[in-house]
Amino acid sequence: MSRGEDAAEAKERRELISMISPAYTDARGNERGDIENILRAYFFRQNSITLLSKIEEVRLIADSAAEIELTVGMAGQNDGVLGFSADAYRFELELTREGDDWLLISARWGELGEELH
Amino acid sequence: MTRKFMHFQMVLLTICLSGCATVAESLVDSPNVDLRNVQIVGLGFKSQTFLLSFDIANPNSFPLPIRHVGYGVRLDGQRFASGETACDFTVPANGDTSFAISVDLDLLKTAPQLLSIVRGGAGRDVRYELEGRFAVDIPFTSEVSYHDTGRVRLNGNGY
Repeated sequence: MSRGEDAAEAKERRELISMISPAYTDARGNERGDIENILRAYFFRQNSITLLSKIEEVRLIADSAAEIELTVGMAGQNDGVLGFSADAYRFELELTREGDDWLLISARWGELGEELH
Repeated sequence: MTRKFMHFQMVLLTICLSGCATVAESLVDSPNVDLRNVQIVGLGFKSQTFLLSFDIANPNSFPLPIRHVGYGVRLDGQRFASGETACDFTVPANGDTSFAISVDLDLLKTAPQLLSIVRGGAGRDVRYELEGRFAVDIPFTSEVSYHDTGRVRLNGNGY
């Protein structure tokens, strides 16, 4: 059972990473490899934090691009001492169509209520 | 809307939107931080200004955008400086960089023993202990703590 779950998670991770365009860049200076490594870290170190989220809006642009706006919240206690560990974020994902696939080409995010960058 | 586009959304839903996905509690490995230098910038009777220079190495395979630093420094076993400050720098993936913090102190009040060390110790190495936390601009990342001990040179610029 556990091996099956691991395999399923690995497949999920690969599938998610395959949806990031090789041309991915964002305002923070991340490229595809950076996002890939962050996602790997999320998957490998998953623990007991629960995410609650909602797609706010999906915008199709000229059939070859799209934007998805979503809000993601983290359930549980914020134990940050500096007070800079937010519990909820807003994401704006930019997708581009390459052949039959939709790939993530850029993303902006920020704490809920704050400016995205 | 095409089937593929719906598929992208479904994966998003599966990965992080379903309400039961889990993510890392400690996504980030603690960076290695060294206090490289303590520069005496101003040395008055009532206040003293120091520039603390740090080296920071990122052991993670992704860049670490640092937005806030909390720090506490002890010199020769005595509390020297502590505080927190906003900042905006990124430590490259598996790379290093440096940053500096300027602090104004009144050692006469807070640590008179240190004042004599500072006045007489410029140019010599002093034992230090450093600890603190970073706020990192990666979603759902806990603040990252760091700790280091070593020896640091007090540089006086003529003091």
